[in-house]
Amino acid sequence: MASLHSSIKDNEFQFYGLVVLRVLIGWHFLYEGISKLINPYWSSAAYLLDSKWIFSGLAKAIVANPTLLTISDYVNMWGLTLVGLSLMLGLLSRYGSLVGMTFICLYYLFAPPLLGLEYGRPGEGSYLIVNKNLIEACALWVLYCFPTSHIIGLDRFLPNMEKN
Amino acid sequence: MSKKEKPSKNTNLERRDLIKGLATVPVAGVFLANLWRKMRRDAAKKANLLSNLVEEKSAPNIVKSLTNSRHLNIGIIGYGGRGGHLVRGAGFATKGWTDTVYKNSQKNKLDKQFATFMSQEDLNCSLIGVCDLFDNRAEQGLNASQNEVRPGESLKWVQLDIVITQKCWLMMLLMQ
Repeated sequence: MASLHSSIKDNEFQFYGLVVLRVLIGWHFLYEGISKLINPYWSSAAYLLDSKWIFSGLAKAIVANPTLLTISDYVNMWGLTLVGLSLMLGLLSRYGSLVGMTFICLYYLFAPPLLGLEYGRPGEGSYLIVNKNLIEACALWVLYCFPTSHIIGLDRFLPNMEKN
Repeated sequence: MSKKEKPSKNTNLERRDLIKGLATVPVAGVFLANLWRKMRRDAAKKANLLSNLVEEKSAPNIVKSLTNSRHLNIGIIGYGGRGGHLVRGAGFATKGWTDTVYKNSQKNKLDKQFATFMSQEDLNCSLIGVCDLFDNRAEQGLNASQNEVRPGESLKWVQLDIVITQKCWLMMLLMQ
């Protein structure tokens, strides 16, 4: 599970497809993180206040508590940035995939596009249950299952990375 | 020979390792370069947006004198034909308009426009704002607020310090 199957290693299309997928998702995460870091007015409050479904109570509790909201903001900003760097550069990218997947699953669960749930913020598309967050989380799961950073990435320089 | 080849093989392996290990680093460089360009572009756009939206006037917002607390500050949205007429009714006319009607009254004694304007009741108000789709109309409103042709009209003399321009108007419409 940790290392790539030899058939994928031998098939360059499959292997480089996985590398490109990792770098593109890393780019997306990195820009999401940095754009929040450089914007002094960014806060997760707006997203949390618009939360529906099972985590809406938790979201409102976070917004109501300034300390929790600050923690949430910093975790988002730095978490997304570090996951982005990890995936893009191929540094500990299996852990990066796992953390990124956790982030995206939380975003999905805080505001899932389920039937009957209406959101105040304008959506970027039309979704029914499946949205881009869910798809990106699945893509990260694939990257977790098929790591490539020990071949193309900084993990190549780390000892015993293939075993991790 | 084999001893000589060994370092060469190792060097190739290290070089290959290095290339593969650092293969995605240039992507990070492209990312940073584009991020820098975007930040500069956004900053320039923001600066231009503000400079186009609000025209800061150098004249300060001064009310020469106020007679009592019943003084009324007025603003007009749309200084076109109707807006100009309404504001004239409140005692504010552009310098161009007062000059023209004055000349007309000199040429034709029956033309009472200037006399009527000059004898209007003092409504104890100041024109302090103009919002218009066209900048030249807004400038006319500014001109009307500064015209001191009418005697005893010191109350109305308030300079506009901000003229809301066409782009600002469009933005307000978009926001609505």
